[in-house]
Amino acid sequence: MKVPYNWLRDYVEIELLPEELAERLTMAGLETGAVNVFAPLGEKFVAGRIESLRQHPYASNLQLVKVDIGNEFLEVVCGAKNIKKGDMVPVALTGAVLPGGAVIREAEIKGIVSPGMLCSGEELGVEIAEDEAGIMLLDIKCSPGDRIIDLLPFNEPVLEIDLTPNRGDCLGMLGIAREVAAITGKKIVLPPNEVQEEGKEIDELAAVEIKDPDLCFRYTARIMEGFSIKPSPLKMQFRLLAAGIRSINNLVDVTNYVMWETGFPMHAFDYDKLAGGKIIVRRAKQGEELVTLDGVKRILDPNVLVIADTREPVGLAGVMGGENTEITAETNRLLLEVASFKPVNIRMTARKMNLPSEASQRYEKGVDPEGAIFVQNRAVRLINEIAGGKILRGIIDKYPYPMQKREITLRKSKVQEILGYSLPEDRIKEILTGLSLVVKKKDILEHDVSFHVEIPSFRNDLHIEVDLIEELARINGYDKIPITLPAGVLTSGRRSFEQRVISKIKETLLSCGLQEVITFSFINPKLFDLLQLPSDDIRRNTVKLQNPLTEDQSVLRTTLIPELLKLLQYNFNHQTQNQFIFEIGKVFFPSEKNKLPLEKKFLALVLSGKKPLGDWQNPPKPLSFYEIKGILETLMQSLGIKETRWEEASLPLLHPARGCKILVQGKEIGFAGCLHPFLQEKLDFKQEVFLAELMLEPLLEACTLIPKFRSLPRFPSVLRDAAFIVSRKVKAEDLLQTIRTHGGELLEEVVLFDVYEGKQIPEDCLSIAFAMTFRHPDKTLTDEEIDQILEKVAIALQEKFNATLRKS
Amino acid sequence: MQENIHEKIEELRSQFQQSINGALDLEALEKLRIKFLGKKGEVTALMRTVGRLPAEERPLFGKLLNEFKNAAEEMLESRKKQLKEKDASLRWEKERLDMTLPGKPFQLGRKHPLTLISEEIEEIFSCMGFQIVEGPEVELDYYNFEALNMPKEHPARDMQDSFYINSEVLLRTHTSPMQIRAMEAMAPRLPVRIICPGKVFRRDDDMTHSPMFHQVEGLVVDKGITMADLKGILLLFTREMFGEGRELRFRPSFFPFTEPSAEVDISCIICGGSGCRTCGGTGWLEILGSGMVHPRVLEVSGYNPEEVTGFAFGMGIERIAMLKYGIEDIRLFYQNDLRMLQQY
Repeated sequence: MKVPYNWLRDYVEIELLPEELAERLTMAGLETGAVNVFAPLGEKFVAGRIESLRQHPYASNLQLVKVDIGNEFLEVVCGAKNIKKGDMVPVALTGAVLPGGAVIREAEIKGIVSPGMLCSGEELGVEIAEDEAGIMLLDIKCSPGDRIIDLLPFNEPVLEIDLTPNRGDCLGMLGIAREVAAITGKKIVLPPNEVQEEGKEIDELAAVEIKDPDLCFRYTARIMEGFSIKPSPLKMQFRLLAAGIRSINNLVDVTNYVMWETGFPMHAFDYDKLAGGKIIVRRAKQGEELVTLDGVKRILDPNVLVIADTREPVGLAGVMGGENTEITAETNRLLLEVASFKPVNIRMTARKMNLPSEASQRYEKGVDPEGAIFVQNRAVRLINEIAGGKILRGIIDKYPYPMQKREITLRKSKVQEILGYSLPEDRIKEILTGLSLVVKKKDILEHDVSFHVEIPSFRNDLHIEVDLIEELARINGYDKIPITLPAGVLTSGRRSFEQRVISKIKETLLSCGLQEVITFSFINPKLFDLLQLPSDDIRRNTVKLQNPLTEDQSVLRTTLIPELLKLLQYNFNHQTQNQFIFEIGKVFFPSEKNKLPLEKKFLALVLSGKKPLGDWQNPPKPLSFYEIKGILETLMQSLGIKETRWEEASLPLLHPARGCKILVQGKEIGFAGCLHPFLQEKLDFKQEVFLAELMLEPLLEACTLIPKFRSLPRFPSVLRDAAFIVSRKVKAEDLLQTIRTHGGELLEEVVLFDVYEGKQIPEDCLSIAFAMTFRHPDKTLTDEEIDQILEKVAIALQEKFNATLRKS
Repeated sequence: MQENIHEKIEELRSQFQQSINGALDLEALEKLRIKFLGKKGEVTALMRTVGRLPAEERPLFGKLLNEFKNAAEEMLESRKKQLKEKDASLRWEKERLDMTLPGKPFQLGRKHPLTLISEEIEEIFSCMGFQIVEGPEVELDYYNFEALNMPKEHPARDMQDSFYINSEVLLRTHTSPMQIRAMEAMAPRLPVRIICPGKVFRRDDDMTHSPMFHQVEGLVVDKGITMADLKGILLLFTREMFGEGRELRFRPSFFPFTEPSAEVDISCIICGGSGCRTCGGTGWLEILGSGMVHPRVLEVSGYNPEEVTGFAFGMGIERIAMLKYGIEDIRLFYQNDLRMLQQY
């Protein structure tokens, strides 16, 4: 809301500079930004009285105008036609700087030297009404030579106030003035609203009926006749322009002016166009039509409140008037509506019709029905003042359910309880009274004092005790609230088990060189097609947004992989070839039992590129599946999870022969593998991509953060290597299992350390070498003992897999 | 005869001296040692001749010989050390490395900058005894709006603000629903001291708005909690987060679920309060919203507002990250350009 500083001074005495006022308002909860200057203008502009006009000798479209500028006469060249002898006009003297930056000099125009310039509104930087007519005619009392900046509100400081939605009462200058009064301890001055009625009784001409009192709280009307429609006085135009409102004509300008003044929107109908001279406030009928003032035909329904005459709708209540009853140059009589409507309804209509306006914005926040009469009188008085005409006798006032006065009890102790400091009784009263609240009664309680406070109707944001406490706090200044720390019992801020495990997972993955990423929780469902997920894949069963911004963000993700692949693509396109990334985030599945979907935390890894990074001694090596598996194994180890199995499987997204399910303690928790070659091609990836996705919950269940201590061995271990030649079809894990089983208790550890193919090995076979560590808890093992075990292992491998021990 | 003894030993000494000067490596030195001091060496040979001396000369001869032996051993040892050092320094020169060649790169993983900020905030509050809780990203209208004093008609619920799943379910637009959920879970126990970091969603997409972003909510409910406590906790937090010299400014504001409400500004972390581009010349940066928990919010969550009071606050993690790292476009956090992420 734009608040011209000097306009505001009409309603309250202000001793603060504009910037100081802005600061004080901000600190009282009316956030005020930088103070801007409306219509900046310099000093070398003065009022001049036109003494005479004569034709320019060498140019038929120009005149030579003699103006009295107080201490001298100037004869200036002028092209405008709207001036005559005796008019007072602004004159730019030589050296004057126009708002556009041009400097006025003595200039020769068609052979005649012009020692200055008569100015239009546009040249002075203000868009006054009917400016196209030419030179600005000063309609205020002034003498030749008076400085223009002293006559009109040029250089007006304008406060831009960003109001919180609860303060609809401050959408008028009076509301702001009330705040200023409360802050500075001054009194507010209401603008005059006494009216001189004459002529017919309004009841003879018009009637108002409210058919839907749930949507219209109060409706008042007055009728005026015989006014003349013309531009408003310059001062009013300037004020409106400073407030950011275009000046139209004196009638429209008054409705806007009084709206800015009081926060109360109003609407003027051409009375003679109202069928039956009657206003009916009702819900629209289904399919009813109305052409609004903007020329758009609106199809209505019963959710919309309309103002109608006996024939048809003539306006959308609180939003916009109808073309059929518009005020025009021919209008003789007007009916002025000042009404109060239900905020929600106005908001719905304005939104549905896409017609947000200064009026609807005020109605949405709630307009005080109690203020209607004051506003009605203020408006017709002003119209009468600047447009002339008669205010007919009487006022129609339909107010089916008058507002009840609201009272709130405020306890002094509660002030201390909420704010942490105590305010003296006098100060409490002073602040409340300053805000125009009425302290009606004081009760002395045993250890307390309570006030009964009557709330004025315009403060529709004050309902309960703490609302008043906030008023006290903000007017007294939040900076007066002391700084303390909460007392009370100690609480533990320790992280939950889940939080600690997730930290550990992140730490481990970071140590493995992976970068954490965060992607959106919503994705494009078309990605499932792109990634060729089978039609019955459960990941296709998504939670859908009703109103997404784009299709790319239209369903909640059921897997982290698609966005990570997109991210991979993005980074490949930006020349990052080595990508090792992971994300921990939620995925969502529709729930049949609950209203809310199931939210599950997942972990996904995507790797592509070379590792190690390479250096001047060793070239980098392309990744293989075993890197991602190694990282996952490291993760399991770090979480103390044993019994992880990697079960070959042909899975969506993955290379048919290079993918596996991951099982922890026999339960499937995710998958890992190489991206399907077709997808790699489709996504235009030039190198292999490795991915894995795991559910976090089972990891949490299997995880042990505190490992159990095993006492250190007292006897030395013995290390033996053995290589076996086996068919390529045999799985390493099966060999390891067999070795573990037959190695017995003395086999402490077995590590597969080499896989060899080539010379000396049959083509359909591999040589697989194991390093076995043996240890006895109570003695040093002898060679014979170990040989015996090894033989048992070799026999078992021979029997099960036809493996032969390779002699070294 | 005595002179003879002296002469002999003197001769041996000078012989030894010559040889030791001529021994240029450890091998030659060892040979020398054997020649003079070995089992079959010169000293042993001389010792054997002692029997042939008159008895009165024997002690002197033995003494002199021993003296020589000791001196020789000492000289040998010192020469040996000398040669060893020379030898080693030659070898080490051959082993010289170019210390300016680059080291071998180790790949370092990094956390997302938003995680870093979030963890920093969590740690500060955690140390003050706040429990860290999490809540659903998809939320019931009741928790997101209704229970927070935003009934059906409230402007904040306009379709342009929220992503709806259906009329009752939406993506949470803030972390404040966790105020209600946390209190419901705790009531009637006291105190409640939580923070809730998490993702939130709004229908907005430009330089300063992302359709998904992160917030941290804080809530304290107990007997005797005041707005002064809110100021104290937030001042403590801000100084931990942004540095000792920071000041806070509390401005009255409006949130449907707090009363009184306060917008909190921090003295500009770029210019320190003198005014710059970042703070728009005001010297202050808005960083969080806060207030005393509205009595109705306490009530619907199972607490009696006549017995307990509380404060709540909420801040945007992106906003803080943007200020701290000097990032101007919020969308960079979700573009996940590795060249950007690896700066943190």
